Amino acid sequence: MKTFLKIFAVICALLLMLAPASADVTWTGAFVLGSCCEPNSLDPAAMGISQTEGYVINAMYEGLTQYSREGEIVPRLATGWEISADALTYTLSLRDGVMFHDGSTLDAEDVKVSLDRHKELGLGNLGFILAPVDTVSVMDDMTVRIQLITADFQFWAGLPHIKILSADAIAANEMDGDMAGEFFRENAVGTGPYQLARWDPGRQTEMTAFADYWRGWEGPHIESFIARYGLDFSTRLLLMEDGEVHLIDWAGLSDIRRAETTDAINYNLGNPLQGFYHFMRQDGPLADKNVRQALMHAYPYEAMIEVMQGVALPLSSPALSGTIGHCAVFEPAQDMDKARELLAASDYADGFSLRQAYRHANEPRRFAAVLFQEALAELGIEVQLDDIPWGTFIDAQRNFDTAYDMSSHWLNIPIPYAGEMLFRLNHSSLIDTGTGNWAWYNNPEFDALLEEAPTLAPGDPRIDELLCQAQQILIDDAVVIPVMLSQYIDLTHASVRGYQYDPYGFPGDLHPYDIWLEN
Amino acid sequence: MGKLLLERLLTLVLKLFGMAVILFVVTQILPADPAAVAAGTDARPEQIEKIRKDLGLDRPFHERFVTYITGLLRGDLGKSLLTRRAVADDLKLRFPATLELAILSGFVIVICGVSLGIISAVHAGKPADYLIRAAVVVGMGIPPFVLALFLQLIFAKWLDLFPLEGRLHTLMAPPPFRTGLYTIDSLLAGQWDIFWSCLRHLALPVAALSLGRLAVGARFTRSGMLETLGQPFVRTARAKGLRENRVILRHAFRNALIPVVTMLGIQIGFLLSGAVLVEVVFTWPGLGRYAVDSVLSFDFYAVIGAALVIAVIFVLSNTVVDLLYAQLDPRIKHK
Repeated sequence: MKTFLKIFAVICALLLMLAPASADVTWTGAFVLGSCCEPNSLDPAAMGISQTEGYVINAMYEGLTQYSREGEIVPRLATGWEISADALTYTLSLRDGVMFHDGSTLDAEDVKVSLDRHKELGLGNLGFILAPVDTVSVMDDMTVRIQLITADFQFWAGLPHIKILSADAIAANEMDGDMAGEFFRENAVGTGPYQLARWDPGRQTEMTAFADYWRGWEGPHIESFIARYGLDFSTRLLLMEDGEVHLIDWAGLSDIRRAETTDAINYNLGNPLQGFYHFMRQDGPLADKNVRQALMHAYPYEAMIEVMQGVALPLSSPALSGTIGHCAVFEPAQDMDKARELLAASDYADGFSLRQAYRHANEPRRFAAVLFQEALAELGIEVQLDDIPWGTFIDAQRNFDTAYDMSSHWLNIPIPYAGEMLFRLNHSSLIDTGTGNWAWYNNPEFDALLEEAPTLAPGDPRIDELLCQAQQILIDDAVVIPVMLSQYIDLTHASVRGYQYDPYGFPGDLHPYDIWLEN
Repeated sequence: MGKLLLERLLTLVLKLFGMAVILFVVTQILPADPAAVAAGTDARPEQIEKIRKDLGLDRPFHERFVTYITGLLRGDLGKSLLTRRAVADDLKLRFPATLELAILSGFVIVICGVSLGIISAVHAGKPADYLIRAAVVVGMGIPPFVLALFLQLIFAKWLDLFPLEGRLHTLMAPPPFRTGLYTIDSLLAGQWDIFWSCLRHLALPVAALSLGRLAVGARFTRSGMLETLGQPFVRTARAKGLRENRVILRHAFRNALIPVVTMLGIQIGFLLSGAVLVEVVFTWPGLGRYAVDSVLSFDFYAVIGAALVIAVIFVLSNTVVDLLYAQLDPRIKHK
């Protein structure tokens, strides 16, 4: 009997030990992303606009704050914050018990070192966010204070995208004052739910669940996240049909039809912080406001949406809806009679010719260019279309003599703040830089509005007021034509659960922690 | 032969230097801004300027030229503008992938192409000859990337015999790097499952790459053999009572080899320089894809690096062909 009791006790003890683990965590295998493009670097301070780069980096790193699905700034590694009335001082309290992948624990020093490093390196598309930071001070182990040189709302709006790295790892891997740039290019030491297992350049990056992740692992989760690179579209689809790929990003219109023919693939639509715009340089015939307004009326908005087979939305402003400061100031509708009327009132009623650049990286760009060319031909305006690569375009746009009369672009914005987008579209400081203001627009009144808005404290209603005025000016002056918001399409395998497109996760955030696979 | 080799090596160095100079100048005067490309489409001017400075693109042309050429003389191919990795390191990873594909394809071309050519010539005018010739016409007519898609559809999708793409199963880690050839490295590490996975992954790309070229090999061998089989020395060999196999392989085939070797040399050069479209279809991370990606992103140090490697491959394969000529025909050696 005693022996029986002993065996019984041992069995009970073993079951007790095993029970919590099997009840709490359910690992559902490896989640595979099928992507075309490989990250150039894994360093969060050098992040570009590649969505895959964002997916990989955001799985391994976290910021002090984050955007909720509704676009609100909510806590992440910081649990709370105070913003001074003059919007110059931000004091943040840090979350306790957060561990980095190298075993060190998060404290204020990690935050200071990470922010200083990001500001100093100033690379990537997020390089500008910390530009207004003066000092980052450690108040105590779990409190950090950020002092700005000038109030800049973009700092707060961009902070969710600034990732926190292990200060120990930075110190241990620094070489010749490079702030461990060489190390972090191919390695990752963050606090994110997944840690880097391996990066095979040209092939794939594999990340595995970080056992000590601060949110714990209750419920179903994917055990590893694998990002595969260099896959072309047809191959990705074939792999997804066989369940070897679970998510395909930036799918095309034809893929929706393909997804509709099989139960193995679902398609999802999202509204990214990205719009398609047409710019008109203020020179020659386009220096005449009547001509620019005529062109705005001649734009085939409805045809573009139709060409996009309904996977696009009209834009009501030069800024994207869903951004802070957006207001509807524009009604996109083609009106050729109005266009003729305006053209007749200009000095160019007999027609003229224009040069337009577009980048044929995807079909909508070509459609847009050709449709507009046809519409303008009806008005006697001849458009010469040039399909050129980005590097060549930028080079041409820097010089007034070589800059194109018109160009069309997809514009991404890293932060949901209309001011950032409006600045890049048309602030006079970007004339002849090639990277923005392709209309060569110079309006001191417009510039002043954009310069004042970010100096206000987060939540100040005047931000909306100033930005609204700026949007109205751009439409009244007919500088930029807001064409459409092309919806983001991705494909998921039928087994994928918990995935939802996040428009605020710049340049892309899959939230792999929320994803699991159903067999 | 030693003199020939030395001569070729010296010319190789001069050719490479000339190529590097021309490519450097061409990439620098292109109307494009590599710093803007490296910074990304939504970068601000200050980020682009910073990257330009970091990459040394803000320095005058002559300074950049001297830095690059002196680096090249030390074996430094520069750094990729996009990944900031040393181009030599990138090539070290990419070239073995192409080499592995090329070696196996080369074997298939030589063994199958030459065999089919001999069979066709020996059975000239008979059904076997017609069958092989018909197959050769079809093989030469189908572009490798089209064949690749067919092979994927039939053998991977419908019959599920081979993997659709890639060098290795997604859930497998590559073997420890020794040569970069996964098959060899997995054997050296005793990782049989990986070795087997590699072989399965090689099957379709090798077939796609080699079938067309194999057809060319068969055609060259056939015509060479037909010409040689009609020569007096073959009749003499037969009259001496030698066995037919010996007559065909030792006497006729050896003398028919020179045009075949020329053709194979060129084919191997092409295989090694990267069959871009096949690499794209099979997601093969080889040299061809690397070169194309670099060109599209104005990553000019990577472009020059890849071009130099391709040049070395062509010059070396031509040199090997010349050396083989001398071995095959003593008259050439004498000259």
